[in-house]
Amino acid sequence: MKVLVAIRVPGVDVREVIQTHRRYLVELMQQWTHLKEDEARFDLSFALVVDAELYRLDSVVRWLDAADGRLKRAKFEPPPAISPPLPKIRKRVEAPR
Amino acid sequence: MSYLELQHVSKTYGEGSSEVHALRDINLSVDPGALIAVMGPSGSGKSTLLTIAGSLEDASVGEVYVGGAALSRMSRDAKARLRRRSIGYVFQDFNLLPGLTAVENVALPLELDGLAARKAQLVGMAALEELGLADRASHYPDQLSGGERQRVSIARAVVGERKLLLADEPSGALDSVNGESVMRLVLAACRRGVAAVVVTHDAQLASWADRVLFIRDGQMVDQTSGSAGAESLLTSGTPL
Repeated sequence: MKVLVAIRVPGVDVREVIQTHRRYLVELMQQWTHLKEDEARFDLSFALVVDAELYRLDSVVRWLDAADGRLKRAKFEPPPAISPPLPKIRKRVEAPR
Repeated sequence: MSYLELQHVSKTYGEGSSEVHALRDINLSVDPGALIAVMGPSGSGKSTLLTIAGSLEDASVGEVYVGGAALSRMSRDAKARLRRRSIGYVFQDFNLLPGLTAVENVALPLELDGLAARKAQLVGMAALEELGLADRASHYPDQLSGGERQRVSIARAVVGERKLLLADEPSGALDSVNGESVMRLVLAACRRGVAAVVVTHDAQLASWADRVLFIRDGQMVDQTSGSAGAESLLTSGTPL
């Protein structure tokens, strides 16, 4: 969803948005993987839960990779940033003395 | 002190209009015992980075230090010696010699380095035993499963006094169970003090690393912080 929004927002580099999301997901995956490092202390039910979460996160990373590739192939350029119009400055009019 | 260090490394192929910048200003340092993953899509420069780090190819610009020694100042013989003694490679397609048995494949780099064949095979056998492959020692590569072949190639990569392990998509041709056991072996080597770099496009593989670097169009664009422990999963509100 945030990728769809990002491609419409002027001045936003959508590939940076994708990368930020990808990094966050991989950091989560590192934490989950760390839980299963020590196989000897690993409870089977917990292992299944950890695997499920890793596959869920992995599928999102794969979707981000696919989206990134699609944007690259399409040579997508973000819409230019539009600077807001400057407020009108009122002329000071002095009353004749 | 880092065992592997890349300083401002760039790699360019071709000249003029056919010039391709495979790597641009890469900086990387890997401490002994650290497992680093480099993640990126196909054609992003991952494999080039690995071949330059392993002295199989020269950088166009910048310097690579392995064990504190600059590769650019080494002779071809010195580089070959470094590769035989200190660097282990693991490739997606295993690269085992088909005419040699598992133990002969593992012992080969030691023999090339001058160790007597019998001694080299004893060391190779010990490495295979450690990876649970003792009963496959006399099998030829085509008599082994994909997972077993990759475990043999890891044994070959870490046998002897290797201090640097470079792996290019080491579980690319394997199913997820074998892929996980391959990463456990790489991690075990790191816990013994080996510095390792794994390049991959696979997030599950990369998530075994202490630090994940992201490469895009030949440039390092991002990296994981690597600071949060697993306990933060309990406080971050991540749903199971």
